[in-house]
Amino acid sequence: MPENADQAAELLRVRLAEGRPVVLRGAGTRAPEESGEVLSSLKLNRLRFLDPEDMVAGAEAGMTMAAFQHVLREKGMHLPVGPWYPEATLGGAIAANDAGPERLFAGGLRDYLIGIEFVNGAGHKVKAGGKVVKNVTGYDLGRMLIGSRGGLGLITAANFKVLPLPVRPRAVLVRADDATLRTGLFKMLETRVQGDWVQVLFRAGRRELGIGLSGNAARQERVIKDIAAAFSSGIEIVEEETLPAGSPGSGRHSGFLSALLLGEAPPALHIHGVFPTSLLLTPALWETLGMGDPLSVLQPCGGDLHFFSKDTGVEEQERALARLRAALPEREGYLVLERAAAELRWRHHPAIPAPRAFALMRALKKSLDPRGIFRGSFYEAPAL
Amino acid sequence: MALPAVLRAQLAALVGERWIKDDPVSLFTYRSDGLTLHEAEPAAIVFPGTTAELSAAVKILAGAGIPFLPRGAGTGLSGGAVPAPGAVLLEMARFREISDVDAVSRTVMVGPGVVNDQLSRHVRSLGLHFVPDPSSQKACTIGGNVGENSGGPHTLKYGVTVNHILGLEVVLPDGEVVELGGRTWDTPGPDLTGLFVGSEGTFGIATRICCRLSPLPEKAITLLAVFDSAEDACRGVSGIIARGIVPAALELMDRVVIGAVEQAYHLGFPPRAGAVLIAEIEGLTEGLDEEAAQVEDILRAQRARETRRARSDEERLLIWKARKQAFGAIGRLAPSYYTQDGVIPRSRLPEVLAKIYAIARRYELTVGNVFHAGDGNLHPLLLYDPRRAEQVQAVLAAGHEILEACLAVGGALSGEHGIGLEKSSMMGSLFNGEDLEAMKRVRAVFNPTEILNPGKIFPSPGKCADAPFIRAKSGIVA
Ligand SMILES: Cc1cc2nc3c(=O)[nH]c(=O)nc-3n(C[C@H](O)[C@H](O)[C@H](O)COP(=O)(O)OP(=O)(O)OC[C@H]3O[C@@H](n4cnc5c(N)ncnc54)[C@H](O)[C@@H]3O)c2cc1C
Repeated sequence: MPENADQAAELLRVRLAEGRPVVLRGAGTRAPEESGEVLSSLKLNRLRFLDPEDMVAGAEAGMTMAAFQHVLREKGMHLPVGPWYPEATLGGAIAANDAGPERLFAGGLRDYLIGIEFVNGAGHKVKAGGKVVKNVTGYDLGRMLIGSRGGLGLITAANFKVLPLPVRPRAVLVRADDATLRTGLFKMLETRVQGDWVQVLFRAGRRELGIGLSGNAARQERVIKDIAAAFSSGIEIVEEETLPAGSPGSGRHSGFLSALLLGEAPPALHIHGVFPTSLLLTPALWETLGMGDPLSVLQPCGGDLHFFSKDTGVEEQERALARLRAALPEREGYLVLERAAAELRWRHHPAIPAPRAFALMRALKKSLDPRGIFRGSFYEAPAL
Repeated sequence: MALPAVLRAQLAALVGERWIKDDPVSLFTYRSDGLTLHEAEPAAIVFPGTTAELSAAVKILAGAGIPFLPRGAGTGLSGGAVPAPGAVLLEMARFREISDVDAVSRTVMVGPGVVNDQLSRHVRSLGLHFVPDPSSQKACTIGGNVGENSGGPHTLKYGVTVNHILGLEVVLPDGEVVELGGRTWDTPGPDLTGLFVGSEGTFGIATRICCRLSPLPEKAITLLAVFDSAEDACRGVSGIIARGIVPAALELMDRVVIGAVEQAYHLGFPPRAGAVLIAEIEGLTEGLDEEAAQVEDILRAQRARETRRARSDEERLLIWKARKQAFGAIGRLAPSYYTQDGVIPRSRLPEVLAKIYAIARRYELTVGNVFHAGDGNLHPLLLYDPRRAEQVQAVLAAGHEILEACLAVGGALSGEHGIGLEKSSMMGSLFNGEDLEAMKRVRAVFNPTEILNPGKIFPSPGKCADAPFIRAKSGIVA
């Protein structure tokens, strides 16, 4: 556990000399690499700067998203990208490209990451970007590290553009049958309702849709009217602070998963899917999501789904994966095994199918980490 | 440097004789982009019509060891589309298709030759638009926007080009066609789409682009605030942001620019104002007036002499015409001008702006400022006469000092125009050898032999950092 970027670089150079690869880890919420010494960023956890006037903040990569959001909130700011796992670190969230239910309205990490510091495969500290909100000075290596899954470099610090906290955030909750919800979501998107986030929860036989909104009273009244027009069923309006635990949108800044799971440990299987929004509103997919245990989460705006299962059996997990694949057009998006039984991860590439630019991703890995010091199963040839 | 005859014949057979140009007038026309301080004639200009043609042309050129580079509309301001000696320009104007509009997923596929403004018009009836709106939007192409990661007045709230690009079909310098990203908002693995956007035509040539569309604002309120000095106007900007309001646009024009714009368009801008700030807030009709009133209060508290609201759409459009065509208006004040693009933390604007005026005074140059104040993205326009070598030299030296002033407060060399040829010699003042080496390693993955758009972004070893000075002295800049 290095305590600063220079120590991390030094340690990596030692491992390079010894020829001993390392596994990069933040909080370890995702599928861990099979073998190798763990290099944890958890002690790189200091805030570097926070300038609300300039709407920028920077911190070391081992700081948890929740802690980062907390210091931002104290200054009236936030990063509108919610963490999935409460203990997720900034570096981990970047490496996994986490995104929450705000994706369509507020964007993802790519839209807020403005500067990066990392240690490359040669054990050298590298920086790119800066602390200004708009910057095209050189290649954006920060965006390259988004989704890099620990294989391209050890992220040691990151700078973000941050936004003022939404004014009086509230949530509209809709409980209805699948068909009503799907039609309503379609209508809502077509009529361009200006919410802040959208999340659908699938729990045993129950669906719950939440839509976030904010702004002055007149604006909110209008958005609520628009939502009501899209959904024929009754809606309920709740202040965000008083959202009951476990309802859509809870834990947006502190980690959805523990809020949604009501404190239960993360399930053994977590499949994340990214697809164009219009493909996520089909009866077949909703039926499959309904099989999630204890729940599934759909964030139709911006296009992702999260399927969970407590089942630890390999074949049961395989069947769940097959069902999801059958409910989604294969070439239009991807499923990612975020957590799964080791056997399943061995059988499949973490992304299903492997990304179309996979050869380039591997070439990138080879160029930036020529000696393979960072273990990265993501970059290994996909199973056939 | 003419193309070898055999090679020319091969290219002509591929794209058709009318789509290859190497007559003296064409070569002269294509010798520079929007930055006229750097110029070099290409060996030829080829206009491929399809991805297959482009890929084949690239294979022919790469096979012969002849460098090449893509060009959109050539409005770039950092020399990105200026050819290296003997290079062939691949003009993307024929890639004009707009297809697969999906109003629910909010995506559309476009060819890189589609003009920025045209895309927004195409999807307007669906209540959607493509947010990045460079002031050059009536001419510049989506391919060029991707190349430079362009911004525009409305990127303060909604983000620059990269935030609105989901996928790319790209021809690599060896002719291979690859797909980065897709129609999904994220793709597993390193964000290659995000990396490609802003690579200034040095990674590959985009042939098909999946853009993200956003809802058109239902209503926009445009405010014009008049200040005694540009520094005061900058404080107004900070005041708004400090109150937690992020307008869609916050643009500043100083006295010189106001004068030029008045001369050109007669909008009734107060002639003796030190600066005007254009603030636009937009969104749903409901609640917008209150927000506008709040912004007006803040601006008045920050010493705005007067605030005006555009009373009609025509008035609003007129204000934006003044802003977006300010560069053109400035063109009337001097034979040429040099646009800088440094970006700084917003709260340092008053101090850096004061420095810019001081630097211009010291070099006896006129400087006008019209810029994206909300983003801290400066655009000092240094006026000069290219026929006067000493003025060219003064402009380059002043430009250099201005960028140093930006770096000194934690800023960067370019907010949206790119490094290109123009600022490559200064990359070393922001990044160390390791940083630059890491960037080059990334380029090597896409463009290993540097046959695509060579000589851009990175300082060339052995090249004098002030090469343009020498060219200016020798009278090449004219
Ligand atoms: C009056 C004026 C106002 C401007 N205002 C703004 C502004 O507000 N904001 C802003 O950001 N910029 C502005 N610009 C700069 C310029 O318009 C932008 O950089 C624009 O995006 C360039 O587009 P283009 O089609 O002209 O590209 P070009 O100049 O032809 O090319 C730009 C770069 O992109 C590369 N490129 C072109 N096509 C492709 C492709 N298909 N694939 C890969 N690379 C490609 C080129 O090689 C080159 O490096 C302005 C310029 C002018 C002249």
